[in-house]
Amino acid sequence: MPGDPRDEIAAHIPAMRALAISLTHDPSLADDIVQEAAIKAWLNFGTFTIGTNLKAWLFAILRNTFYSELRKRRLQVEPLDALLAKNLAVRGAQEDALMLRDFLTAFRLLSLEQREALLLVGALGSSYEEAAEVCHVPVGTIKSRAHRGRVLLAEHLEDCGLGTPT
Amino acid sequence: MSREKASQKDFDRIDDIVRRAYEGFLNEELPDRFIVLLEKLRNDELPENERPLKDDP
Repeated sequence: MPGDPRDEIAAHIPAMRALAISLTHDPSLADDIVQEAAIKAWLNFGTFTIGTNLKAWLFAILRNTFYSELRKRRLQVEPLDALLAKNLAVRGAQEDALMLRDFLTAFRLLSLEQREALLLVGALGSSYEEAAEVCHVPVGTIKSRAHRGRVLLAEHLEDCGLGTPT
Repeated sequence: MSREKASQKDFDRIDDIVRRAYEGFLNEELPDRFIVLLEKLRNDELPENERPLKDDP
């Protein structure tokens, strides 16, 4: 007897948490949002077309849940410095930590849409097509948001003297 | 640096920083609440008060 296809949702929860933490900057709130999204996905699994992209479907539910919560709570997204610093600190690279401070200054200045595009494509390895599906926008819009975000970050690193050596 | 001057090398570096900063979250141990939640969902034991108000994802 085949297993429950909904069990595949479990395999995507770590990636859902990573995205939620990166959007909310609050691990506790992120877990609440992931939990709600996972429940919605499980209870509405009948609307998912087997054989299509489950990760993109889950990310879309997560994103909708996040924005809904954002409106409901009128959330102010706090800086992610401490969380990201912890992640890089584990790697023990002082240079990374110094760069991180400047990088985060610029990252916070990006729009939520630009951050979202960079996270999906740059950090979580989604294709532009997947990211567009998740965000309910054309592929060109995602490419534009990611490109603009990268340009702004590159400009900021350059301004801080941390540009890529030529 | 202008938009035109930012190179693919710059963009790859940006992506690498973002990726390294966030990959830690991907590798974190899943909190117990999710193990418990999945068990409840599998056994159809989710209490009414934990169900979303709207079922539409």
